[in-house]
Amino acid sequence: MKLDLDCKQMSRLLSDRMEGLVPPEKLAEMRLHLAVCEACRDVDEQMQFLQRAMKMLGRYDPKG
Amino acid sequence: MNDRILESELAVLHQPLLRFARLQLRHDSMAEDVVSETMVAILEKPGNFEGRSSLRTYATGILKFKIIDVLRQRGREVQVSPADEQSLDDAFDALFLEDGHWQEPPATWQNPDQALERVQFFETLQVCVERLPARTGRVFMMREWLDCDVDEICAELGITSNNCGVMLHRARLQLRECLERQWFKERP
Repeated sequence: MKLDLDCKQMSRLLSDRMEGLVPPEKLAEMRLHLAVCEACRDVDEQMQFLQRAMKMLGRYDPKG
Repeated sequence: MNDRILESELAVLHQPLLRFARLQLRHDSMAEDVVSETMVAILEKPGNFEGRSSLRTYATGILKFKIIDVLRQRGREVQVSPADEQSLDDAFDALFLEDGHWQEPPATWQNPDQALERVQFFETLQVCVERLPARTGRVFMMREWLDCDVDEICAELGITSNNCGVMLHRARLQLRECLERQWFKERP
């Protein structure tokens, strides 16, 4: 399948989506790319994981 | 909590708080100032610490506000090293082939949430954040640690929203790489 978005563009859009900066018409294209590209699905999950981890940074207790 | 215990617990927190302030401000004396102000604020009104969260969480919350104040006053005076930012651009370009595909597809991380229970993981994350170039690191920390929105970051640092998006994207990819190399590949 030929995708309009390549992985480089996707990685930027995945990042922009975290700021709510992706226009709605692009979201469908992103979903299609994610459906067929395991590498970008991994990056999507990892960026979200990074965001969760950053929220916890500074709160963990080194003695814990 | 009596004053003596509060003082000794704050003393333990001094270095970790200083490290966070340096990470965000990239300026030693400004970092020391905000940490001192944070500690004074807590000691002046010990009754405000109600013990619902840990002292660390409480102090970190105050520190964030102090850092945001400093950024508002001095946000545009960021020391920029073009060489550092260029090295991030080069590292970013190396991630992709000319046709836009991944040079080396990212690995799947096994049970990443388990890492969130490990102190060592957060130490690794902190080291990775420290390796970001100053300006990129500041934008990323403002967004992800201080919870500033993009408009606020742009206004404080005098950058465009596209610029901000570029720096956040590169920061996230570099941190993803760093965590993969330093943590997830080490612990398959």
